[in-house]
Amino acid sequence: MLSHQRDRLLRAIAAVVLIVVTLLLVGQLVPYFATLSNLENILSQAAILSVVAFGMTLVIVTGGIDLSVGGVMSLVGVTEVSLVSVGVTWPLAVVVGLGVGVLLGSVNGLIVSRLKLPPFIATFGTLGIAAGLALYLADLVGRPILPSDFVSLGNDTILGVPYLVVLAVVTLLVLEVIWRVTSWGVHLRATGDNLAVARLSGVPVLRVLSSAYVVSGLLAATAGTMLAARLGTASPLQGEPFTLSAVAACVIGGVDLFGGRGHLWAAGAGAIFLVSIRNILNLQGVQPFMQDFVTGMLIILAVLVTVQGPFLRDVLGSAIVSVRGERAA
Amino acid sequence: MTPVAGEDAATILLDAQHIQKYAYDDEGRPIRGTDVLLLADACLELRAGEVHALVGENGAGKTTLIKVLGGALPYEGGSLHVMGHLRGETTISRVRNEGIAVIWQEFSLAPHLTVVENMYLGRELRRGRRLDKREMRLQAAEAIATLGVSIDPDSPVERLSTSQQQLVEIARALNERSRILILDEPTASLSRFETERLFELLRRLRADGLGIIFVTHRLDEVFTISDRVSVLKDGRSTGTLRTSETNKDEIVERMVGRHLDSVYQRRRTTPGEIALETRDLLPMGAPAPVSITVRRGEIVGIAGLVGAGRTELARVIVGADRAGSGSVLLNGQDVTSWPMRRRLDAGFAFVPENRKDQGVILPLPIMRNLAITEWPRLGPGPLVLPQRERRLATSLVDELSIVARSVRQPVFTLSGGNQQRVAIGKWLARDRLVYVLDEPTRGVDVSARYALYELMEAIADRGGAVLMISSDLPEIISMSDRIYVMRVGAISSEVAREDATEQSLLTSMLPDRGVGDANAPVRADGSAGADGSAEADA
Amino acid sequence: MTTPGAPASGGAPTVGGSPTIHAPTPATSRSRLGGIWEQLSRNPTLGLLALLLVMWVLAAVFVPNFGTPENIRNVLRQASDLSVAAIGILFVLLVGGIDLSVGAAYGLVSVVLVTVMIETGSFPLSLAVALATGVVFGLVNGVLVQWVRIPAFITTLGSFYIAYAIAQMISAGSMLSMPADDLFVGLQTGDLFGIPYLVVLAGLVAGLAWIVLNHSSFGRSVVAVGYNRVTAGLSGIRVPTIVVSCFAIGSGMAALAAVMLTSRVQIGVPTLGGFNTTFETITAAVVGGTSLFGGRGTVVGVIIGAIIIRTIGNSIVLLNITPLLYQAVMGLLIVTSLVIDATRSRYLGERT
Repeated sequence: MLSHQRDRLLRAIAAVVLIVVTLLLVGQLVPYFATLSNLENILSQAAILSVVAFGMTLVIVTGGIDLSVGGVMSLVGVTEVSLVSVGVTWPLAVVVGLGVGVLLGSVNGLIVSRLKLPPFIATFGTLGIAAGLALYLADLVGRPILPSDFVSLGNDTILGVPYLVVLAVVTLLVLEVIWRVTSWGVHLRATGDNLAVARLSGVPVLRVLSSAYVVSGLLAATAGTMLAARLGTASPLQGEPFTLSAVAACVIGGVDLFGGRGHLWAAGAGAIFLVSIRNILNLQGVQPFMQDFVTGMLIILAVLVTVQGPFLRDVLGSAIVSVRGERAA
Repeated sequence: MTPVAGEDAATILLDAQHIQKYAYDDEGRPIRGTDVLLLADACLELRAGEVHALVGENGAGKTTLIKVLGGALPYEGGSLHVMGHLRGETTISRVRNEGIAVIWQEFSLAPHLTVVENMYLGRELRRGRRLDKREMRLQAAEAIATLGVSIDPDSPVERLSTSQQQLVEIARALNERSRILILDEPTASLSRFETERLFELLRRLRADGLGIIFVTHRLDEVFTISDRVSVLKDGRSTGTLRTSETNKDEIVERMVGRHLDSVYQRRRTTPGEIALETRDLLPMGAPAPVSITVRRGEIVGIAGLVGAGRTELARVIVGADRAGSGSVLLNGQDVTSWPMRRRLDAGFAFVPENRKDQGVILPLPIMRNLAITEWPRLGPGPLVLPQRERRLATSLVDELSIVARSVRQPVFTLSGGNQQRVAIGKWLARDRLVYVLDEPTRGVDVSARYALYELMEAIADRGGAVLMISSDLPEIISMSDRIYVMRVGAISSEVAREDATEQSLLTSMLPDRGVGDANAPVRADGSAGADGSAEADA
Repeated sequence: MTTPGAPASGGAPTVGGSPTIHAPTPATSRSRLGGIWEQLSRNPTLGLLALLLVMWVLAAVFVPNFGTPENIRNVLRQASDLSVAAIGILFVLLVGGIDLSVGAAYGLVSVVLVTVMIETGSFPLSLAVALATGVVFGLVNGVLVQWVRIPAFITTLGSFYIAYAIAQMISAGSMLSMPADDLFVGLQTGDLFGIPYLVVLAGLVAGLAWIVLNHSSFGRSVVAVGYNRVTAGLSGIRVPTIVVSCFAIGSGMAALAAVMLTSRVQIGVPTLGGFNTTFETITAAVVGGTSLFGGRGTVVGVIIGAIIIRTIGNSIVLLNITPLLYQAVMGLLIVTSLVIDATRSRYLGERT
C-alpha cells in the first residue's frame, strides 16, 4: 500500500548516500576540499543559493520560470547598502529591501497571471528594471561598508554552524511546513500540472500563480540580503550569476521544468551539489568562466535527463503494463 | 421490480425539456450569426435509482447534451430543472455543488498529483486552518474501498491504468455526495473484465438511489445495464423507451432515418485504375492491419464510430504518422518509406479532421493559406512573386466560391464552411492523385455542405481518387461509390453503394458482439497523438 | 505579419465573386475615427513610426545637440549592429523560439574574428570564419531545441555561458586588439554619400531579410510554422528544417552584428556583448511589435525598435543623466511594450 512512499524514500536515501560518498572521495582527491573552513565556505554559499532556488522551485512547479532573481538580489543588496549609508538602521533597511523584492515579484505575478504572457519574458523585463536600478543606485552612493553587526550575520557561526546556513534551513522548514500543512503546495503543483483541471476543480489558479512569483521575489530579496551581509557591501552585479545557478540547482534537484513536480529540499541539495562542483573546480585552479561553462552544461544535461526521462519511463512503463496485461488475460 | 414502475414513486433528479443549443465558440456562447443547432429539441428525464442510457449516431448531439447537463455549456432554449430548481447561468464548480458529477472521456485529473490530492483538489479538508491529510486519506481509501477495488491512494495518478483513473473519478464523485453521475462512453477504453466491474459498481450505486446517465455506442450495454434509454437523432430526442420493453431493432430505427437535406444526388462515374492501395497497413498501436484500394475518379467512404481508427489510418496513409508494418502504394509505387512531404509532392492531399488546429492557419490571410502548398513554385528560384500568389488565390477563391471581401482577409474571419473550403482549396492548385479527407463537412451548415459535395465530385471527375472519412451516414451513403466500415481498428466490411443502408452500416459499425470485442482497448479519442507529430517524419 | 503597404481595410472591393451572402465583416460599422484607430492597431508599424518621429522631435527640441547631422549619424551607426542582431532574433521569434545567447555569441565571434585576423592577416577569411562560428552555434541551439526538445530559453541560457566560456578560452581572458586592416577600418569610418558604411550594411541586410520574409517560400514558411506548426507540417512544410534554420540565421546575424561592433571598438573581447546585448536585442524586437508566441513581426518594426532604443540611449548620454539608468529604462520598455501588445491583441480578438 505504501510502496510509492517507500520507493521515494529509498531513492532519496540512495541519492544522499551517493552524494556523500562522492564528496568523501573528492575530499580524498582534492587537497583542502575536506577542510573545515572550506566546508563552511561551501555551505554558506550554498545557503544563499538555495534560498533563491527555493523561490525558483515554487515558480517552476507552476510551470513558469523567474529570470529576474539575480537582478532582484543585486537591487536589494544595493538598496540596503544605500539606505544604511544615509543613516537608516540596518534592520529597517533590510525590511525595505525585502519589500522591494515583494514588489518586483508582484509585478511578475501580475504580468504572468493576468496578461498571460510567457513567464520568461515577463521576468526578463523585470530583470532589466531591477539590474538597471541597481547600477544607478550603486553609482549614487558608491560602495560604503555595512555595519559590523550586520556583516557578522553573514560570516559568523553559531555552534560551528554559519548563521547563513541556519537561516536557509529555517527558511526551508517554514516553506516546507506551509507547503505541506496548507493547500498551497498541492495548488501550486496542480496549477503547473494541468491548469485547466486545476481551474475546474476550483483552485484559484491566478492567485496561486501570483503567489509563486511574489514569494520568489521575497526569497530572492532574502538571498540578496544574505549575500550583502556575507560580502559586507553590495555591488550592482553581485546577484547576476545567481539566476543561472538557481535554475541549475532546481533542475539538478529534479524539479520538472514543465511544471507539476519538484521538491524544495531537492533544490537545496542541488544547490549544495552545484556549489561543491564549483568549489572543486576553484580549488583545482580552473578559471571562473569555466565554472559557468560547467554550470551551463549541467543545466542542459539535467534537462536532457528530465525531458527524455519521462519518455524512457513511459516506454518502460507501457512494456511493464503490457506484460502484466498479458498475464491477467 | 424496475425502479420507475410507479410514476411518482421516484424523485426526478434532472429534467431537461426541449433543450436548444447553437454551434458555439470557445467560451460556449453561440457563434455570432450562426443558425446551426447542435441540439434542436433534446429532452431527458433522470430519476433517482435508475441507469439511463443515452444513445445516438456520431454527431447526434450526445456529447453536447451532457455538456449542457454537466454545466460545461449554457443552453439557449428549453428548460433544465435540477432537483426541481431551474438552472440558468452556471459554472462547473457550481454544478459540483448541485450534486452532479460528469466523468468525461478525457479525464479531469492532474497526472502528477496523487489519488488523494486529486480527489480533494480545490476542496481540501481542514482541521482548523491545517490540512487534514489523515482524514482525507482515510476517507479517500474508504471511498475507493466502497468501489471494491484496490488503488493506492498515495500513488500519482499517472501511474494508474485508464480504468483505475475512471474509478478515481467515480470515487471523487461519491465523496462529494453527488446524486447524479454522468458517464461519457465510459467503456470505450475498458477491457471486458473492467467493463463488467464497472457495471457491477453502477448497479450498486443505482441501488443506493443515484441517478446515472450512461452514454454509449454499444447497444448490448444498453440492455445489460440500463433501465431506460433515450435516443437522440440530429439534435432531437426521438423517444425514451423502457429497456425491458424494447429491442435493438427499435432503437436502431430511432437512431437512423436522417432528414432529406443531407442527401445529395451524385452522378455515376466509371472508376479508372487503382490510385491508392494499402497492403496490410498497420497504424502504430492498431489491433489489425488494413487493406483498401481507391481508384481514380472514385469516392470511397470510410464509416465507423469515433475511435474506430479512421483518423489514424488516414494519417498513416499520407505519412503524417509512421506505419507499424505493411505498405502504402501510390499509383502502384511503394511510398511507405517516404516522408510526408515527399508523398504530398508525389500527389497526396490531406484535409485533417481538426480544421482550426490542423487544416488552416487562422491568423494568416486566405491568400497565404491557399498558396501554402505552392510557395516553392510561385516564383523564380526561392522567391514568391506576390502577384502570382494573389492570382492563384483569387482563382481558387472563385473556383471554390469562398465568400470573402478580400483574399488578404485572415481566415479566422471566415465561417466554418468557408474555412473548410480553404483547407481543401490549398490542394487544388495542382491536380493531386489521392485526396484524403477526414470529416470534411463536420460543423459546416447545409448550404456549404452542398458546395463541398460538388467540390468532391469535381475532384473525382477530374480523375482524382477521394478517400472520405465521415461519421454522417446519409452523407457517406450518397457520396461514396464504395464504403469501408471500420470497427475497433479493423475493416469490418466493404459495401457497394447499392447495398448500403444506414441500418446495415450501423450494424457493422457497432461493436455489439459482446463486450469481449473491446478486450483490446482502443484509443477513445480519434485525434490522439495527432498534434505535432506531423513534423517528426517530415 | 502585417500585409505590407496595402490598404488592409477601408472599403476594399469584394474579391472572388458573390458578395451577396452575409460575409462576416469585422468592424464595418466603426466610425471614421475608429477607422484610424483600427488602422493604427492593425498596423502597429505605423504607430511605431509615429512614436519614433515624436521622440525625435522632442529630443531635437529638448536634448542639446541631438538634432545635429553628426549626432543623427551617430545614432544610426549605433543602431546598425543592434538592428542586424534584432533582425536575426526576429527570425527566431517568428518561428516561435527565443534566443538568450545572442550576447555571448557577440563575444565569441569578436574573439574568433580578431584571433583569425592575427593569425592569418586576411580579413575576408576571418570574416568568413566569424560568420561560420555564429551559424554553427545557432545550429547547435536549434538542434537542441527542435530534436532534443529542450525548451528554447533553457537551451540558450545554458549556451550563453558555454559560448562565453569558449570565448574566454580562446582569448585567454585578455583583450585582443585588432591588427590594422584598411578594409576593416574602412567599415567603421567610411561612408557613402554621407551615410556610414555600417548603416548601409545594416540597410542591405534589412532589405535582404525583408525580401526573404515577405517574398520567399522560406520566409512564408517561417511565419506559417510560427503561427501553427501542425498545419504547416501537414501542408508539406519541413518544420524541423525551418526551425533549425531560424536559430542558425539568428546567431549568424548576431555574428555579423558582432563583426560590425568589433569594427567600431577595434578589439576582440569575450565580454563584447554580454547580457546587456541579449537584452537590447530582444527589447528591440519586442518594442518593434514582434509576438513572443510566434508568427507576427516585421523587419521594419524591429529596425524602428532598434532606433528607438539607440535614441533613448543617446539622449540619456547627451542629457548627462547617468547611463546607468539605461538598463532600467530598457526593462521598463520591454514590460510596457508587452502590456500594450497584450491589450492590443485582446482588442483585436486575435488568436495566436
